[in-house]
Amino acid sequence: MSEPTDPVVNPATAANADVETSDVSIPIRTIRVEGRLDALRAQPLRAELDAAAEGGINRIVVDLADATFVDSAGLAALAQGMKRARQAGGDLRVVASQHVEAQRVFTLTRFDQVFVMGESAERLVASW
Amino acid sequence: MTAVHELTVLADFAALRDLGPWIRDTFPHADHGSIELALQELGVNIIEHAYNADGSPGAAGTASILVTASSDDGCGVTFTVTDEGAPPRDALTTRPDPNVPQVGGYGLLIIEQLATELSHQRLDGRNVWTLTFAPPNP
Repeated sequence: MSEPTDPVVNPATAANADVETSDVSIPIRTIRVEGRLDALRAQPLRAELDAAAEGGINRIVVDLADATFVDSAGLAALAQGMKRARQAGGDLRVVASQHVEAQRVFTLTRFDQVFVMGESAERLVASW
Repeated sequence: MTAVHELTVLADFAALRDLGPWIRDTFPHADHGSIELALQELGVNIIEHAYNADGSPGAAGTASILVTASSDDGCGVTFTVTDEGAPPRDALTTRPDPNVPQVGGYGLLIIEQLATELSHQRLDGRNVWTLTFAPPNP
C-alpha cells in the first residue's frame, strides 16, 4: 500500500526522488519518565539516552506527561540528548508535563522554546 | 517571636528529596513549588561544586547541608543553606546566555528568578547562602 511519505522519514526517497524505493522506517525511541526527573533520576535517563545513541537511534521522545518535578539536572540530561540527536540528524522531543511545577524549569530557562514539545507521545511521533 | 525550623540533609541527590515534603509540612501556605525548585538547584550546586571541588573538606555523600528557615507574618520565607565545602568560583558571576541554549549551568539563574533575594557569604570556612521568597500570589 502506497502512503504519502515524509521525505525526512524516508531518506532514500528524499535523496533521489526519481528512484523508486521501498519505505525505510526510522526507529523512534519513546522514554517515559514519571514522578521526579531530578538530579537522581537524571543519571539513569542519561544512560537510557546513551544506549539509544549507541544503538543508532537518533529520534527520541521523552514523555514527561506524568512527571511531577523537573530540575536543571534533568533538563541537562534532556538537552544533552537533544544536542546529540540533532547532530546525528534526528531530534529529542518532549511531551510536556501536565504538572505546572514540572514545566517551570523549561520556562525559566527558555528551553520550552528550544525543545519541540507536544501534548502526547503519539502526536510527537506523528510529527516526524 | 519567629520560629526557626531546621533540616539537615546528607549531601547526595537522594537526600535532597527530603526537601519538598519538609517545605510543605513546615510552610503549608508558602509557594512550595518555587521554594523546592530553588533549594533543589542550590543543593545540587553544593553537591557538584562545593563538595566535589578540590580541597573541599568533605566528600559529597558523607557531608551534610544545613537548611534553616523562618517565615514572617506575611508568609514570606527566608532560608539559610550552609555547607562546609569549597567556596564557589565563577558560578557567582557566570550566567548562561538565555539566547544560546547550553547543556547545564542554569542552577543559579533559576534560583535568581524564583527567589526575591539571594546572597552568599563565606563565614568561618563555610558557605552560607540566604534565599528569601515572597508570599504566594493571592
